[in-house]
This record gives sequence, C-alpha cells and structure tokens, in this order.
Amino acid sequence: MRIADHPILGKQRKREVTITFNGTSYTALEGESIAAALLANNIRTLRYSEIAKSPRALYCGIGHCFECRVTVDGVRSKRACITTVKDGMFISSQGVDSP
Amino acid sequence: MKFDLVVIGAGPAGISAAIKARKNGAHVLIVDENPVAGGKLLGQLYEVPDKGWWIGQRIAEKLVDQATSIGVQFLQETEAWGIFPGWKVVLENSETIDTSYVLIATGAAEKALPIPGWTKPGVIAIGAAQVLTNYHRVKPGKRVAIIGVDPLSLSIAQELQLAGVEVVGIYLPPINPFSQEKADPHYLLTNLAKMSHLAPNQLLKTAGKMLHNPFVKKLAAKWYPANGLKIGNIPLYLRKRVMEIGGETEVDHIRVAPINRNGGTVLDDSIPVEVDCVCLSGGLYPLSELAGSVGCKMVTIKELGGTIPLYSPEMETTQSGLFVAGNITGIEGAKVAMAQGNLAATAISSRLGLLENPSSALEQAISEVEKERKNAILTFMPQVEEGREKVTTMWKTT
Amino acid sequence: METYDAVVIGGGVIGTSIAYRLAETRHVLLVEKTDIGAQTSGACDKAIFLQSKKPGFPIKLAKASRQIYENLEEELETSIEFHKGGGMIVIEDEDHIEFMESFVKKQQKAGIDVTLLDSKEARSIQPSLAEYIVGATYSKEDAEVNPLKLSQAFAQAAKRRGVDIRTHTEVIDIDIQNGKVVGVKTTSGYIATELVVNAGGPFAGKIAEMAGVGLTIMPRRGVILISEKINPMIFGNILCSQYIAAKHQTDEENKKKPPYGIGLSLGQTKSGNLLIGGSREFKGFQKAINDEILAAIARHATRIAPAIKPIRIIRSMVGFRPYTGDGLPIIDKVEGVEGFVIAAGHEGDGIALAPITGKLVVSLVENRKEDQSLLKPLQFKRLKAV
Repeated sequence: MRIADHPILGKQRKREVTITFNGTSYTALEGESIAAALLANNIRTLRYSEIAKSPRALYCGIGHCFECRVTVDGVRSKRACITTVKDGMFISSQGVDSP
Repeated sequence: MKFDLVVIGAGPAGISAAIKARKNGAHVLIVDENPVAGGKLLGQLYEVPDKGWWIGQRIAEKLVDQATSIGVQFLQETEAWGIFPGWKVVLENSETIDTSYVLIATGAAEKALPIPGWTKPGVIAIGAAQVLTNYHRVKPGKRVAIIGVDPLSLSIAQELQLAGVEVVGIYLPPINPFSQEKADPHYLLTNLAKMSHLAPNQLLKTAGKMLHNPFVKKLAAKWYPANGLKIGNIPLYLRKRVMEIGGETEVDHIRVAPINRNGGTVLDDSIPVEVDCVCLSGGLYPLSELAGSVGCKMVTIKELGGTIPLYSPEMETTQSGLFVAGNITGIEGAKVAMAQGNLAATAISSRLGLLENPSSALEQAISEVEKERKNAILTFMPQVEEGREKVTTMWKTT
Repeated sequence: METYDAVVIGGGVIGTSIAYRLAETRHVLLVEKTDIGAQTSGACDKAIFLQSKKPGFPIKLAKASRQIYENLEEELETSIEFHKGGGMIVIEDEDHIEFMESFVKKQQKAGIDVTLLDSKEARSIQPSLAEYIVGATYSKEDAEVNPLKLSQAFAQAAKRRGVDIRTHTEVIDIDIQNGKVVGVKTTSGYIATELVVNAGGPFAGKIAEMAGVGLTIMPRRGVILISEKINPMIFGNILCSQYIAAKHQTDEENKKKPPYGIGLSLGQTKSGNLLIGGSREFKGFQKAINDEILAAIARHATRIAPAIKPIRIIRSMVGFRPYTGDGLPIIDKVEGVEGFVIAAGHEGDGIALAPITGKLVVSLVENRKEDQSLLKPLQFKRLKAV
C-alpha cells in the first residue's frame, strides 16, 4: 500500500522502526502516524465499538473524530491518526477485553 | 514565563501570524496537537496554472524553518483544552500558560456525511485520504470510490490518481437529512460552475466550463449522461447515488443506484461496485468550539461554512484580546488564511506597542487579505464574499 | 386569532410532562424558547434516586413519581432507557457515618429498601471504588433514565395527543384582564388562552413577573463532566455522603464541605459514557466556568473511584437548576391571577419528579380531591411566607 515513488513528490527515505499491534510486530517508518503505519501493513481495524462491538478505523485523519483511538504504551485513547510511531511502541485495540 | 501571544493551531494562519508577531518583537508560542506543524498544508498538492506545483508540505517546512529561526516556540503534540480570560491557555495535563493575547487558528474539520455502512473500516473522510496519500505516502485503498462532489473531492480524486490509486468514480450521496444539497445534482452543477473559474484542476475546470451556458446548466442535471463523464480517467457520476457501503467486517463494495430523468432514485436497478475504500466528502466547517467555550459571540453564516466567532476588521473576537484567523473564520484557501494570520498578528503587535505606524500597517494587512481572496484559484464556498460582508455588518451592529 | 385551552411555557422534562397530561382533555400549546430539553433538562445526570430524598413528604412525592416510571415506557411507546440499576451513597468519612446511619433508619422507616454496607461489600458491587471508603448505603430501588430521551418522549407523546409544540419561540408577555389570564404574547404572535402553566424551571421567575407575580426561583449552577465511551464499569448510580450532606445540611452543619459545593454523582450511560458530577453554586446564569471547577470535580471523583482515572473526559456541561430554598418545587395556582399555574423549582429532582408533576398539574386545574395531600406541601404561599 506504500507509494514508493510519487511522480511529483519523488521517493521518500525514512528509517524503519518496529511497532507491536495487538501482540504482533510490524515494520513502520519513522515519523509516520500509527494509522498510516498499520494501513501500510494492510491493517484497517483499530478498535471495536463499545456496545455493538463493530470494527472501527481511521475516519477523519486529523484528530477530530476520535474513531481511531487506541491504547499506546498503556495510555488509553491516543488517536492513531496523529500519534507518531516510535521504535518499540506497544499498541492495542480498545473495546474488546480492556475497557 | 508569560508570552505576548499564544497561537493555537500550527496551520498556515497560525504559523504566518506567529512569524509576523515575532518579527515585530513579540514573544510567541504556538500550541498544536499534531506531531508536525503545518496543518492542512501538509496534505496539499495541486498544479497552479503557469506556476507549477503547490506542494503544501514544502511550504509548511519553509514556514516552520522561518518561524523557528527567528525564535517562535512550538509546542507540538499538545492539546489546548481551554482558554480562560486574562489570558490563560490550559494544556493537557493541566499545565497553564499565561499570555497577553491569544490567537485561535484551529482551522476546519469535515462535516459528517452519514451513509448506511459508513462506520466500516475503509470508509474515510476525503481529507484523510489526502493526508495518507500525499503526506504519509500510503494508499488509502487499491480501488477507491468518492462520495460527494465539491472542489475538495474533485481535487483529491486527481491527487489519488496521481499516486497510482484507482478511483472508480465520484458519486452522489443518498438523500438524507445530512446530505441535503450534496445530494442535489442541480445545486452541485450550479455551484461547480461558480467555483471553477480559475481552478487548477482539470476535472473541476471541465465541469465548470460545461456549465457556463445557463441553458445547459438548467438541463444538465436532467441530461447529464447516466454513465457519467470521464474527466481525466475518473468518471464523475451526477446521476448515480451510493445507497449503501457494504462489507462483512471491512468495506468490500458500494451499492450504486441510478437517478432517472425526473430525479428519482431507481433502487431496483442498483448494482454493487467492488471497492476497498470509500472517501466521503461532506464539505468543511469552521472548527470553532474553543472560541465558543470562552464566550465569544458566535454567529452562523452559511456562506462561510457554519458557525464562527464574530470578529472585527482586525480579526478580534467579542472577547477583548482574543483573535482568530484562518478557517475558523470561514472556509477559504491557505493563502487567505496566511494573510488573515498576518492581519491578526499586525493588530496584536499594534496593541503591544511594537509598531511605529500601526494604522498604515493594518491598512496594508487588510488589503492583502482582500487581494488573496480575489486571486484565489480555488474557492470552497461559492458566496464567500457575501459571507464576509455579513460579518462586517454584524460586527458594526454589535 | 389563535386560541388554545392551555399554554405550557417551557419544554423541559417538566413542561413536556405537563403538556402530555393536560392534553387528555384540552387543546394544548407548548412554547419553548430554545429546543425541547435543551436547557436544564439536557444538562443533568440520569439518576432517579429514592434513598437520597429527605424523609417525610419528599420521599412520599418521589415514590409517587417513581411508581409512574414503572410503566412509563409502555405508556409513551418509546424507550427512555429506564433501568433499575440500583444506587449507592458512598461514605468517605468517619464523620459522616453517624449522619448516614440515622438517615438510613429514617429511610427504612419510610419504606425505602436501603441497607448499610461496609467498605468490602460496597466494593464488591462497585469494584471501581477506593479501598479507603468507610462504607456505603445501597438501594436496589434506585433507577435511572436518559433525560434527553425523557423530554423527547413526553413531547412526542404529547404531539400524538394533539399538542402543538412551538420551539424557538419566546413568551414576551402574559395578558391579564380583570385578574384573569386571557392570553400570552409570544415572538411568533398572540395566543388567546385562559390557562397558562409556568414550567420555566430556572427562568420561571421571569415568566411570573410577566403575570405580575413575584416568584423567587434562583438558578443554581451545576457542572457535570462527560467521559469517552467505555465498557461497563460503573453499575447503577453512585453519590457520596458529601452530596447528601450538601443537599440536606446547612453550611453550619456541613463544615467540611469542599469548594464549589462539590458532591459526587457518578453513573454510566447506556452508550458507555461516564457522567461525573457535580457542583452546586449560585452564579446567576453565568455559563462560563473556570478550569479549577472541572479539576476539582475530577479530583473528588477519582479519589472515590480511582479506577476512572485513566478515562478521558471529552466535555463538560453546565446546567441551571431551579432552586426554591426548601428543596421542593412549587405546583400551585396563583391567588389573584386566575388561570396562572406555577410548576417549577424542582432543583436537582426534575428528572425524578417529572412524571408526577404532570399528573399533579392536571389534578390542580381539575380541582381533583385525590392528590390534595401531595399538592398541599407544594403550595406557593409556603415560600411567600418566608
């Protein structure tokens, strides 16, 4: 899903980092958001709704709608769309087992 | 430490204001919740006739470099949840910053466009598609459908295609209390014509040209080809509605129904179209809650995109010392936002006693906003000038 | 000229309940200056507590109202999220034990099913509570309702009975001739009527003034925090004994009172948000609040229920509760102004008392005998005498 060579913006060189999402490790690029990193790894579903338990994901992309909230290194409800990945970051979905 | 000015929001308006005020000698802090400064600039990418590509990310980087080099302080990844008279800006974790002036430049957000199935993973706002594609360089999907026809969605459709994403079409939303005029082909055609005069984007320009003849405009909605018009390689369907977004756990198709010549939707003839991502475009609205919560007088002006804090010709709200600039005052392009930031910063600098000739500086800053508005190549609200006049009149009578 | 049998002023839980009941026999117009349930009734918690009410008449009134709730969803033909989730009053302080013990005894005497629990028992029902709490009182009879749905449900049911509802319409004047109500002047025209019910909540004083009636109902400001949605973690509603003390004791008696009149009121809505209250202050109709109140409410709540600490607050709401001075509303005709009825001043009990208020107003205007014992303590003159 990555755009390796953009016709106008060209290539992008970024250091690789490793993140963990729901127990599985993934490669991400330094400086990108959690949502972008997971999408690049073909992962869309970030959490489950509280009542119906339906899968939810990135929506507005600018930190406004809070649909993409995830628990990051133990802190609840960080917005995956505006939280930058860091090497060794531990991310988990909300709405399943944890409150 | 007490600042002269705290700017909330590091978009084009906020950074421009910070630079201007700092150049005049003010101590300035910018607070922004995003990891990187630049706001909406970060995702922008379009070709300006005769001038080459507008690469928002590069412009943002230049602005941030300039601001940092002259001593503007940035506090990124920090939410400001409250502003209290005096002025105090309260950040997450309850940290409080004292300042003489506050500029709110929180920009805009997208209106919701709810459609059955819109909560499924794979359905995103059109602005999210822009940031993913142009900033993060990750495709929002392999086969993407766009719902909602407006300058932003037509622009981003091309940006997606440029990045190698297959755009299967641009469609109308179903008729519901949220879609309103977004679902009305006649309204869309009329406004596209108004907004496309200088549009940088081929899709928008072609749509606009087609509609210059008022007779064509009247009939266009009715006689627009049922199979859409291909502009570039992207089909623009003004006679097809997406009734539903489907998929078990994530999006795998949309259900599209044709609109007959009388404007009715023919549900019996609806067909599924395979996609893995749907972008909804409901239009932008000013992000003005912060100003509202401080008790600024708020006014709803449809021509500007929604509810805004009433502001003076110098961009001050009804709360003395609290200024606004950029999309929080109404939906316009980045260049107008930058000019508004300059104007607000000039007014604040004048209050701080930093200007030798404040009245001429203000006059010039005001005229620059007007100039940018006149020269704007992309208009988001067709009657933005009328909207601005309404603000002026309302301010006079307050 | 438009004519109605009755005009109800105010579209909160009280006004909509009254309009619904009056419509049994009358052609009613409801006038609301903003929107249905948009003021006090839209900025409150969801609890219907019985055990927190003052022993004696207040309990009797609350029980009568609670009885109506039992079948209200069927009657209104819609969900109002009524749920018997139980209620708890947490005792934080050894000093409050004595007061709460005698309070519980009086409540039991009044026929309320309430028991005193020790700290461990309390925490087995509410695992979010802090270990240090001294104990709690618990009642299975306490219930809850969605106040937003309640006003809407009454309004919709009223409409089905033929009530006309005019929102965004303000009453400008009440037309009185020879000591009788003959009509009301509104921002959307004049309406002839012989019966006006003032259900203006905190604004009832202003409306009474239009009828030449002096009525002191003060706005008592309350702030509530709202959290993000989370899986169920608070079961039923929780108050703290400080809340009861703040409600029933004078400042003299309640010496340890926290700032801003803070007392815990904690519950979780059906959709998962926590409602974390609250403060009680006299600040006129000033809606702007400072960050210290919000922080103080959060501090008080997280001390008693530390488990909610990591949960995000997404917004706060400010409501103006109509305060009469003795904790009871006024439901009465006004002597000397025939056809003018006051039904206001429920303070924090508007949600609990909305169902009975509608019925009492009907009894009042129909001169029915059976509800006289409930109406007598709610007479207007009890407050005028002070």
